[in-house]
This record gives sequence, structure tokens and C-alpha cells, in this order.
Amino acid sequence: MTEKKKDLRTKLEEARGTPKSKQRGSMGESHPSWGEPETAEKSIRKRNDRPLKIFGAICLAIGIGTVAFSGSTSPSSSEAAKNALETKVSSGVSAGTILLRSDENIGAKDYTIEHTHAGDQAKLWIWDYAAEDGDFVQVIVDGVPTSEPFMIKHKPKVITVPAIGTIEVKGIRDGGGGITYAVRYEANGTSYFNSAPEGEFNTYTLKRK
Amino acid sequence: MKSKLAAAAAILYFIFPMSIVLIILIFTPIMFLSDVSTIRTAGFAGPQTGIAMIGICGLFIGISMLVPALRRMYRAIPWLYAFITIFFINVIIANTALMILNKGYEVTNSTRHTIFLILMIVFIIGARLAMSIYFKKRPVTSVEVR
Repeated sequence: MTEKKKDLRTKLEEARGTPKSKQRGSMGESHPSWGEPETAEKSIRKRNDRPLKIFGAICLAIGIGTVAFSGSTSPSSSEAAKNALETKVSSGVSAGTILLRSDENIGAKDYTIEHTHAGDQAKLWIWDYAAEDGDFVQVIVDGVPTSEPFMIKHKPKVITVPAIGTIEVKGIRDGGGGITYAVRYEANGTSYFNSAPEGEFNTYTLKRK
Repeated sequence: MKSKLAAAAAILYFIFPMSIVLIILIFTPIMFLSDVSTIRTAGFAGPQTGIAMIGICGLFIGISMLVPALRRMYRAIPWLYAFITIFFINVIIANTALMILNKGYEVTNSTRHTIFLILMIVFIIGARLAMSIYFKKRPVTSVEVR
């Protein structure tokens, strides 16, 4: 019998207030096969393990919860997404589509967008289509910034812009691998996958047909 | 034989992944101030790795406490349970605080930066106070002492 087991038995006897020899009548000997000492040991161990089980269950729940809801997104494998990666322009993908796992410099390009949108204003969605690595951009409408520079994420940010005018997306900070962003215009329902070097612009000129 | 296998499993699990978890638990609070300083100096939010870190640590710690064979490590190293309990909560507090600061630095605006820095400090003080009160009422002890 190990010292640890002896110690546990002594603790149990102390708790009961009767020595083990008296519990067992005239024979006064313990034997593992009798079961009682083993059961007592188990009950002490069970009591000792209870907080571990509770804390373990909490940790596991936190672990599963954070892994499940951490929002880790993988690139879209749809045909439209593959085409979008080649052409850099797509009307078949929705706002927030992820094309790449890590940032790649796909080259900066300016676009002239002709549309038939009737309203004076239209929505613009802007998001990071590659790694969410801390790229910052600023949207400038006709030379006036619409807001402070902000971090682009996989979740698109919605900005209302005029249906006719010049939209500039300025690269503010590269989180690593280039500032990769996509912008979707409600006016023509098309997404543009672009990249803007730090301090430089991509220009989108919006015209009505 | 069964007991030896269980002991071997506990030893292997302690070597990997628990040793990595212990390193994360020790270094996250140490790195916290440097992370805050980096964000404040750069003026931009950094990538969010805190949630993944909490998730990974939680998963491995949870498994080690729920699987009876692996639980042996807490009997073999009596201080381990108390250490992991306190440090895991510390890691959650530190990473949540960083997430708050990062949220503030997602937009380049000095007022927003200051507000979120204050929020982060308030959160840390509140969370640490709550943790202290909880552990005063229900002290975390080593497995053998209980």
C-alpha cells in the first residue's frame, strides 16, 4: 500500500472518529477485497475530483464555444468565386465573399462603372476578401472622406455613396501582404476585388448610362 | 497494466499538449503590456488571436480534467490545478481586454481610442476584483489538500 493510500485511510478514520480496527470487529484487519477501504478511497477521490470535473466542463465549453464562434472563415470554393479571382470583377458573388486565405498582391486597378440605378444614392459594401490581418482603408467620395480610416474585415462595412461621382479607396495601413479589399456597388450589383498600396488610391468613377 | 497505460497517457498528455498550454498561460499575461503598447504606438488594431488562444487552452485543459486517466496529472502535481485555474482566468481577462482595445483601434479616431482604452482598464480592474472576491470566498486549493 502506498503512503498516499495510507494517508487517505487515516483521514477517513479521523473523520469517522473510530479507528479502522474497531470498525471491523474482533478481527480488526483490513483487506482490499472487503471493499470498504477501497470504496472510501474512491469516495474521497470522487469528492476531490468534483471541482476538476466542473472546471474542466467549463473550460471545454469555453473551448468549443470559442472555436465554433470564432468566425474563422475559409475561402469560397464556388465557381463564381474562382472566376472572380481570375477576372477581379464579379456580379455572381455576394458581399463578404472570401477568395483567398492569405493576402496576395493582385495589382491595383481603377474602374469606370456605368449603371442604370435610378436613385441619387446607393450602398457600397467594402470588406477584406483575403486574410483579416489588420488592413486599413479610407473611402473618399468626390474628394471628401466619408469617415475616418477603418480596418477592413471579412464582415462587409456598408457605406452610402452618391450614385454618380468619384469614389476613391485609399490604402492606409498594410497589415501584411498588401491591402486587399473588395468593394461591391449596389448601383450595378457588381463586386470589384482590388488592392491599394499604402497611401495610394483606387478610383471608381460612377456614371449613369 | 491498465493503470500503467493510464499513467503513460497522462505523462504523454502533460508533455504535449499541456506543456504548450502552460507556456501560453504563463506568457500571455506577461506579453499583455507589450501588446497594448504595440497597438497604442502603431495606432492601429492588430490581428485578433486572443479568441483562438482561449479556445485552444480551454479545449486541452477541459479534456485533461474530464478524462479520468489524464486527471492523474493533477494528483501527481498537486499545484497544477490551482495554477491552471488562476492562470486560465488571467488569460481570458488579458485577451478580452486586448479585444476591447483592438475594437477601439479598428477606426482611426483619437477620441474612440481613449474611450476604449478607459473601457479596457475598467474591465481589467472589474474582472480582477471579481476574480479576487470569488477566490477569497472559494479558495482554490491544490488537489491533495482538499
